[in-house]
Amino acid sequence: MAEAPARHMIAYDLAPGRFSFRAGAIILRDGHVLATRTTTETIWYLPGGRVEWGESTRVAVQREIVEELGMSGEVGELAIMLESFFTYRDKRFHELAYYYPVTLPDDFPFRTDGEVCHRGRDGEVDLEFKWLRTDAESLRANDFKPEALYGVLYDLPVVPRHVIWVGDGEESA
Amino acid sequence: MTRHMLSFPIGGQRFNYRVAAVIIVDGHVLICDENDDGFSMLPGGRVEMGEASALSLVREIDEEIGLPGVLGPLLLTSESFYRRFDQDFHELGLFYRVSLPADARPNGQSPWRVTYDEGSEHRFHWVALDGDGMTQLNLKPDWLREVLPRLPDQLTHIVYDERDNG
Repeated sequence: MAEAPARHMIAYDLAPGRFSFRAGAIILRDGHVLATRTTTETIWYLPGGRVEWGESTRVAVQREIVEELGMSGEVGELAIMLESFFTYRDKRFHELAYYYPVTLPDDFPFRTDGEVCHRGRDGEVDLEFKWLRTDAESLRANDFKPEALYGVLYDLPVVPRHVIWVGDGEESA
Repeated sequence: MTRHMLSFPIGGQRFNYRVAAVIIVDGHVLICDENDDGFSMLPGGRVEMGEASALSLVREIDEEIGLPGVLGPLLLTSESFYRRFDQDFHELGLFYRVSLPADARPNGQSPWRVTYDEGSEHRFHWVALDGDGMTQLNLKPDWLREVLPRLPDQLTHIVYDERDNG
């Protein structure tokens, strides 16, 4: 059997912090967005993950959906390109993230009672998924990140939107 | 302060994150030849760690051209996969419309301006968008030759892959 090519995540630690390059899925249904978190954390975020070397962001989203949800989604056109600067667990991040609208098969479980609708595994970590209401208050109450997406998830731009977001207390050089 | 370019090797290949300026005056676009390496590029450079792309480009314009640039909207966001000088590149590009002071315009001189920055020579030229100039130019990335004469009026996402996937 041929050996699989080595996979290299695009993330790089430099003296001032970490550069990371991500691709994410915006999955909307009836005023809700599908969010995920690792079972060891409290922060919710969009499904997706780090882009690998040589991989377009669209392909990265397709791959992550299959890995995390165990099914294929239909990926639309780029909706949001986010540059963000923030500190997480005492580490400074410079992150680029490309977000695409994704449509899942109709039989993917949809529930609005705030309970977990799906569990998955990504590498070494267990993931859980739930549908959050897309209004900013609800996202904030659920500790959803990044905050730069508050206010845009329910009205996706037809033309890609570019957002530069600098977190509280941060400065971009 | 130490500067860290967002350009790094991954498994013997290279990831680059660049920002560039689309400067168009009187039907001409400003391009830059660096160190006579045979390639032309739009003015700009690599983004540094911790630096927002817009600030990065203002810095690059100042360092390379030596004139203050005013940033307009982001026009293009690109993901390019290509090979040059026996190395594979995965490059992200952000292209902003930029304007220079009013007296910075095509004047028939070529090169229009020559500058030196960090040991490199930069030769700037104005190239007509509607003539043979564009087709004769070895402009990188390649798709710019097609896109620059008919720039979209809204942010456009371009994925360019010249790898042989066969």
